[in-house]
Amino acid sequence: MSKLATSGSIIGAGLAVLLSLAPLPADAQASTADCVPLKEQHPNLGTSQSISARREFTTVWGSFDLPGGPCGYDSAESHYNALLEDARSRGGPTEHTLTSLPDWSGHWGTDNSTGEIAIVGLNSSTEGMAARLMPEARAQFEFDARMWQEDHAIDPISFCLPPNFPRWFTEYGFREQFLTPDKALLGSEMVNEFRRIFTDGRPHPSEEWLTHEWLGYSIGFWDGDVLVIWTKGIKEGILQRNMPRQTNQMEVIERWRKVNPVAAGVEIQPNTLGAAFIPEERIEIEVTMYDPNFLEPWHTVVAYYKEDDRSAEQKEIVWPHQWDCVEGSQWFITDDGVVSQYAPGEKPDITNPDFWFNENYIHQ
Amino acid sequence: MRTIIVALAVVALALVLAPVRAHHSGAMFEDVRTVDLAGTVVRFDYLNPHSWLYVNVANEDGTVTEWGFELDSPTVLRRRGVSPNHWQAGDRVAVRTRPLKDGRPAGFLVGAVSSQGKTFGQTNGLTLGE
Repeated sequence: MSKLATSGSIIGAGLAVLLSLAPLPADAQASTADCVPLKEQHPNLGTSQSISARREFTTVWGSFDLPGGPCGYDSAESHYNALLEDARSRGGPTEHTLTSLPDWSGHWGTDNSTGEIAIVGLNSSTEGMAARLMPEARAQFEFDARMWQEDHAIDPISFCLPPNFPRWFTEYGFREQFLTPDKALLGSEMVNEFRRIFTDGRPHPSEEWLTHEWLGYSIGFWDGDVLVIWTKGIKEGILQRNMPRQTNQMEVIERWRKVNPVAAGVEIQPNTLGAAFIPEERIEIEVTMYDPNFLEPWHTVVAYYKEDDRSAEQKEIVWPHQWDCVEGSQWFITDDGVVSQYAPGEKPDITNPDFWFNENYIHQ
Repeated sequence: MRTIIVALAVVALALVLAPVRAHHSGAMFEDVRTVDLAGTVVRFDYLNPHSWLYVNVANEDGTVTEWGFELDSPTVLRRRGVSPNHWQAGDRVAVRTRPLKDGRPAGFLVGAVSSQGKTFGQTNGLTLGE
């Protein structure tokens, strides 16, 4: 059954995202305890979980309904345990073998028609995002938005730092999945990042051992052909450029499933940046984000299209490229604190072996 | 070919010309103003996160300045038909760039034509000269 997300009234909001921050209605301060869904409180602010900032977004399987009822589960742990109990009630979780695991092979791309906006329930209006934040986080967001607007903000990726999770979903580049019974490797070309999802039943690291990492720590289980993931231990950061911050207490629940849009009779038109894609294959991921900054959990659906590399011509094109960020980046920070770019000859030739062995230098 | 042509474009055009999915702020480059230059390719670095085309440009006083021009990542360039050999050392090129605001010889590549017949981006009015 197709689920259609309507575009609402914020088409084009992406460009206008920072241009104004209108005062919020008083009831924007309502807490989740009131259990009045934000999309009902602010029907015109783009707070629906399924609003597209650019166009309608159709899914085959993934639901834009917030899991756990009108205001969602109270925590990622509750959400995960509910999914686990549900699987157990049907004899799960599924214990896959190498041959029974679903086939997620190939090269995939994030459907950039949702891309950056997918991370906020397809909602990139500044007012809509602000309405979904706790007051303190909202004030921080308004400050950060002004910094972006005035060119005083730096994207951490400009420092060759990795996209943190869940921003990982929203960047471009080839995606690759490698599934084994006890672990799933979920890769993104950008910064050569692979998430490791342990499906061997182990819990997250205890508080003694848990740190905060760019991609966090992920555990999960299989429910038939659905991979359920719970991630915690994520660094604090930003959801995307021009988007709110996330705390290091963010936890995320995902449900991954491969679907066949053609068999389901759903027309998919992914924004592939010009790449050929296979219409019969698509991965849809329900993503639910829990963070103390959020008034209620944020929930959305991310979709991957599959690159069509069956032709010799496309086999030339479909090659994930090493993300040699330090080598490829030419940015530096001036004495005035401005991010700028090196001109030719200004950056040391750090990739030249002769630079590594030079008697005129003292390397310690 | 040694003439620097300064062109003012409209703001809307500048938005169109912004990097497709640049991974960093473009604030160090001119937002609107473009400059047309011509010269000889030194090398083309096909690198993530951004590729760079280096070109020797002759100045009015007879000296030569090496310029660097930033492009998108290989991930994006592959899909636009730009291979690692799109430009090779020795190719003559005319380029249009949004230069660094501070005047150093680098900028974002808006368009280019080459003596090998390779084009990129916005090429209207770009000629290799004599």
